[in-house]
Amino acid sequence: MAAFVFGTIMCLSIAIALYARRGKDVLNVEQYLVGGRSFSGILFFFLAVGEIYTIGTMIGFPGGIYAKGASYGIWFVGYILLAYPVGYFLAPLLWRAGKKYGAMTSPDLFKKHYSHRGLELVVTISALIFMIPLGQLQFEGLIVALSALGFDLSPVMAVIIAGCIAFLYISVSGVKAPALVSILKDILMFLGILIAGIAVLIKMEGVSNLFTFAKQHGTSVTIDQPEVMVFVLTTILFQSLAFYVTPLSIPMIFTSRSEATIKKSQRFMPLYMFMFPFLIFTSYYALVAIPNLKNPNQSFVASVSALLPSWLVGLVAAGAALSGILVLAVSSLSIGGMVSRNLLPNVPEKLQRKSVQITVFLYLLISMGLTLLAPNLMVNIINMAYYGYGQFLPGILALLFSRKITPIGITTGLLVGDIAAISMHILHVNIYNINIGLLALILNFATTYTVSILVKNRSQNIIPIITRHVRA
Amino acid sequence: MAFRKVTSLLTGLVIPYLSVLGGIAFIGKYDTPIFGIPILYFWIFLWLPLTSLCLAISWSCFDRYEYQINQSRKDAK
Repeated sequence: MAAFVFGTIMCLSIAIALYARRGKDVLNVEQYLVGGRSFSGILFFFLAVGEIYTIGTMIGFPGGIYAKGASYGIWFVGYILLAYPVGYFLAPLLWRAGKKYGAMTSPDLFKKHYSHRGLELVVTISALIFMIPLGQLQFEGLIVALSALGFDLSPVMAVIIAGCIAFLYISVSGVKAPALVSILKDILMFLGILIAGIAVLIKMEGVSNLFTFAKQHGTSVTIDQPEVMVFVLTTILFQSLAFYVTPLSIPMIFTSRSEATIKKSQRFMPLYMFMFPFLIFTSYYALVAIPNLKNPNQSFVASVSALLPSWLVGLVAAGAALSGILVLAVSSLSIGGMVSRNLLPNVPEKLQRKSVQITVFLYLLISMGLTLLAPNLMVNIINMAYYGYGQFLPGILALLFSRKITPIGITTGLLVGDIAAISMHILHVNIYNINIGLLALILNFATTYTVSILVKNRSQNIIPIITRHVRA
Repeated sequence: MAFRKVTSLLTGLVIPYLSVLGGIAFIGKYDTPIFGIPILYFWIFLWLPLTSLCLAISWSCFDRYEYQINQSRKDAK
């Protein structure tokens, strides 16, 4: 039954995707990549929240609480919540920059603002590299979603099936489709989370009982060790600052109709987070009722399977799988944009298209491979992806606010930040438990500033975005 | 103009940051339930609507005016 419902919903989503494409065969690049900068507040809102709440939220987040307790729950909710105020102030400026330069990808901003090919390339390549953990995250989640359907799939088999669904999806649905399909996905996801949370509350007879039981089972509802507290606070700080400069969120900002539209939508985004209490209830239920899961990522799906009838399990699994596949589709689109516009801008179109296809294929393949070779707690993968995304911050702030910072400075800073983050991650460097992305970011800022001061830029006069007037 | 921008940043950015991060730091080790929810979770749930409120105040009291001339007439249509 679960498998039947799952299959029906996947087919329905493909039908919606095909419908969305109908009559829109000829799209120019701007419509293709940033929706023609025309989205109203409501559409922008749903696109934004649709990209934010993915399989990482639905399946990864409860897994994090299951494995690590309250600290992971608080970190995850905290960084998304505080990202919204940052976005309220930062995103309109990014939009202004995008509008001024006709930018469609984040490297576009650097290319036009600084006219520096080296900087553009370094930004593009590091963006492409840090898209990989994002892909891995989706596949990790897809394996879990498929496992809910009751077939005893090996991880290899599950990844191959998930990969095939994703390939099929991207090839039929193309471009405009994800926005429309994401409405279906959001409804399914929200309903799934809500139903699961309510089922938990009914089963446990109230919130009080749930947490009292959880405490009796020795699960944590506090952050009582100072070193864990340092990790939580520095990670929230670092990731909330990095949130709006990721290679996926910048094109998302560009889809808006105006700066005011962005600001007005931002106001309501924290309210959409009211699904988190329900997810947290479900996570604690899993801790109490299903204590010995081998893979913590399974905790949400395991609770749902224990509480709900089979057809509802299928519904929830389909919502999760759809969100994973959608993110894969959107990232592939974003990768396509970066390869064709920034990596190989001056090659014949035929070769360009081939390279885009090969890059996207490789991207999916590498992500699938990593999922199998280095399975990980999903929230940890999110953490890793941010180590890289955060390093774009000095460059973005420079182009918005600074006359002094030079492209050479940004390039060097970004390289130092990326290399520092990756090596600290591989070598398991631990300095008072401070988030290593934040440490790398501090190095990055220092390098960007020092190099900009030492290597003076003679020819260019760079006017920061902030000096321009608000425009309609 | 400068006054409006600074107040807006204080309301919309500084207050939520300090409250959420400071709250977590201070409340972290207590497990007292409020309405059945452990206080740490309760605090962060409370700041979902409060953050929204801070942003709404930033917009309505300060930032709106900067955009009004060019924008609000256009959006109202």
